[in-house]
Amino acid sequence: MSFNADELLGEFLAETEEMLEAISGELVAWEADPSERTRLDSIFRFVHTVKGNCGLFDFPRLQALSHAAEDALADVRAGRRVPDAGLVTAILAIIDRIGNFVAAIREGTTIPEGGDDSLIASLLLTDENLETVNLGAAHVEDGDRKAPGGKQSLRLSVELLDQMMNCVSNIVLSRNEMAHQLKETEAPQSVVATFKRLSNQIADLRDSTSDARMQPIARLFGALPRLVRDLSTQLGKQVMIDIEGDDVEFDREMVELLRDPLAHIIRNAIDHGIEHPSARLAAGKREIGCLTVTARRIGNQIQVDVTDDGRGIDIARVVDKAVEAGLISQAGAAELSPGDRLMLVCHPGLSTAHEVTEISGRGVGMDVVRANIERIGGQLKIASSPGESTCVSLRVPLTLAITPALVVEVAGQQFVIPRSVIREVVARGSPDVEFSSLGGVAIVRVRNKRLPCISLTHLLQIDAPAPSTAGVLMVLQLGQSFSYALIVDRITNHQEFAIRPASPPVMAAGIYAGITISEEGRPLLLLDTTPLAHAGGVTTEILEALQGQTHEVASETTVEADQCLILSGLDGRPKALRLDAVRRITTVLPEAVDFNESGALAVIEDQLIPLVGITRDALGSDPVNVAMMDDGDCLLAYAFAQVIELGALTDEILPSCEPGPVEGTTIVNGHAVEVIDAHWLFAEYGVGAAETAQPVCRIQGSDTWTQKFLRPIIEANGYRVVIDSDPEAADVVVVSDELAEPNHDEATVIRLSRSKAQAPGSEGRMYRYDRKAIVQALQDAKVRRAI
Amino acid sequence: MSELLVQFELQGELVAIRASEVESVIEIDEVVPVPLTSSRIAGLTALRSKVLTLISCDNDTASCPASTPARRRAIVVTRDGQSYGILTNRVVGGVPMLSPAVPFGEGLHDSSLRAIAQGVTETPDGPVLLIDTEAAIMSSIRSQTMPCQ
Repeated sequence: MSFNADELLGEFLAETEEMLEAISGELVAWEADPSERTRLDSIFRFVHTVKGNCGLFDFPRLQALSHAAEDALADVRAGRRVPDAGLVTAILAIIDRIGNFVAAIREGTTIPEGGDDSLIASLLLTDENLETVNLGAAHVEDGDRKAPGGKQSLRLSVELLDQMMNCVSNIVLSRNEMAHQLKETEAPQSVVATFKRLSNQIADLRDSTSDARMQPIARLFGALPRLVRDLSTQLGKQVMIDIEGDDVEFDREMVELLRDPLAHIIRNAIDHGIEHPSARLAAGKREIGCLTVTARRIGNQIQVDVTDDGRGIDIARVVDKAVEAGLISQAGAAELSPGDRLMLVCHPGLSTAHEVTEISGRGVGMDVVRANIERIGGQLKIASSPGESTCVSLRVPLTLAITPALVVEVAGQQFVIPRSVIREVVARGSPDVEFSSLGGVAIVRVRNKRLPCISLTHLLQIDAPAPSTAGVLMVLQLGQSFSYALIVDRITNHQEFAIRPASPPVMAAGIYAGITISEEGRPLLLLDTTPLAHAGGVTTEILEALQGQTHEVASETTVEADQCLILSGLDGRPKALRLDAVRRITTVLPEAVDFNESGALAVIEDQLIPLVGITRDALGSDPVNVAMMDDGDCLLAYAFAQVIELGALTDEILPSCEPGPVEGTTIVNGHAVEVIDAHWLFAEYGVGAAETAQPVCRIQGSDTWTQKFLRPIIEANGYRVVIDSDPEAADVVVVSDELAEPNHDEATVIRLSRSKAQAPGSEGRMYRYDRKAIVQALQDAKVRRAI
Repeated sequence: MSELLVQFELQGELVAIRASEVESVIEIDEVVPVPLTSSRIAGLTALRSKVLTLISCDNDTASCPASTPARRRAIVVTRDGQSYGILTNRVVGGVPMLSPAVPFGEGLHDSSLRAIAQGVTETPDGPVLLIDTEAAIMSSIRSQTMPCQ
């Protein structure tokens, strides 16, 4: 590989810009605590690298600046000089100048001569900076010899990455097509096996390519401390910034798209939100204002919150301003909800600052910020408590490229709906669903919620046979209080799609968000659910009118007996769940799942419900799909990866060797699937069953072996473990062979021996590592107990 | 060397498009309709891993795309990274373009052709209307949405 000078220069510029971004936070931290060694090292490394690179390209001024800064910092590192505010300011000024130079080189312009010398002079030692050499400091290791971080990295052009992503999308599409063809041609087993392997490898490739596009949000947050420092100095305020979650990763495209909006929000917070120190003290607050910036991943979205503890937003003032500016009438303002009044600050041409400052307050900005966030499929929300705080929340998708989605069908036509907006799917004929009309507006009640209801067939003006009562109702959640129901004929598939923008004539319809290709090689349109709601006549007024209305509903399910839902489990294997046990499918956020000794519990609609089919390891940061099962008395949630299809349990079920979550194996639509034993699950995990029905096993001793080795095995076999001192009657007693014979006539006794040789002696005695025998004995005892 | 044109049938007569703009000519079998778009959008079809937006440039097929059986062929063109197929009953083949296109303007009575014609150009077979690809695509955006009854 060969490089020409331009490429090398490009590399240098990119590297310098990246480092500038990375150290800007360090600079502020260093200023706050000049004795902080690691900060100093990274700043030193930066000027050192710049100086070295300048030699390659002939930028004498840049070299002189970085050289001077390096010298000064080297003195500090060696303990020959104590950093003070003057030095920090001088270093900051030089680094800014380096940044200006880099920008100028990139644009092909030059920076006027002069000024450099005074910058360098400001670094010079003043008397008070002089100090005798600190002997201890002589031994400090050379920080710049160490490679920054342990990992090696390579710089790639964004264009190349995009190209790779595009190729991968095409490969995925071809794979899907081939999968379909293989299914139809009854290919030999060996071909299918190889294809499956290839398929998995392609999935890995796609994942790592998406990962390659991921960047930690730290890239965005790194520049914030400096921004806050400069702004607060300029405005005579004292602000400290607290950053959380900067390891959250998302698509680099999104990182870039969030940069300006975030900077603007922070500017607003410092300029308008946080008060001057004197005003803060008068209000009984700390002199220093606090700005908190947090990022967290919620499903396939990232939420960034910017909170300040300033004066909050004066809603009355906002409304006055809006009326004054003619944006809204006095009467119109009175009708707005408090939330909507707050959102007036996002109106073009509205500023509540008493005076226009250099930083913000010109009344342009928040409207642009909101528009930019919404353009990338995000949402902006503002919350404020007067006198206390303001919080601006941005919620944006993780990536724009790959979307898990459901394929729905209406009148034979298929469309795709992103999984992220689907809260719930219920059969239209379910007793949980009740249709009505309110002044001509179609309304549906789904359990205790009333929602506006749109028929996709009707909305798309597709000719359909007479309206049927069959079909599926999807509850779509687009915002906190923006939810509606969409009726489709059926859901045909669930998979991840590489979404591409559709052509302008198609986008002109206003209800499509993009385009993709199905497994069968047919084009599929991705529905844009927000404009779809508007096209369907769902307005804010309707949503608000319907809110807060609740209803108590009896639960009852009637579905054909031999129908089953084929799911792919979190372990990757296909499972069949009898439809009569499934009440509905919904999702659970990872935060709502709790693992305890006996299994997992999830908070679903304010109820604590046992969650099965999941292990701690399988719980990622994405929402988990769950099938809600109902036995009439209690609920159980079964976690799964995705719905594969609907099927019928027509073939013989080959029973499992022992009772457990899997009843047996059968063939559905040509594939082997595990049939989930709902009866067993409810017996084992159902709420209420746990306390009384669970068999009890008494163990002796609190030694490590008993507690850490033995106990988990017993618990895994469905026993509740009590220790020796517990007076509760036990079904099984496990004793160590050395210990005295227990006095429990009615209980099964399992005696564990330390030696393998003498183990199979008297009844109930077994070697303590003969797991099979122990499990068998525990199971036998359970069966005996049941009889 | 003179520029090549591809001749095809539109509105019952032969028109032409610059061969340099034509990616390929394909046979269409399955068309996926796009509800709530302009009547000029005949639907979508997949070409390998690409999605083509099919455009009806004449009134014959534009009246009700979803219920009309897909026309046999489409001329594939690319604009701004998107692929389009211009529907036609017949593709004749290549002819050299002998003169620059002269605008026909209001002289063209057929409004659907007027919106997409660049002008008239001379070929060895006589004068033909030269279709402007960009205009053909734009006209499908501008046309009013007409729900099929």
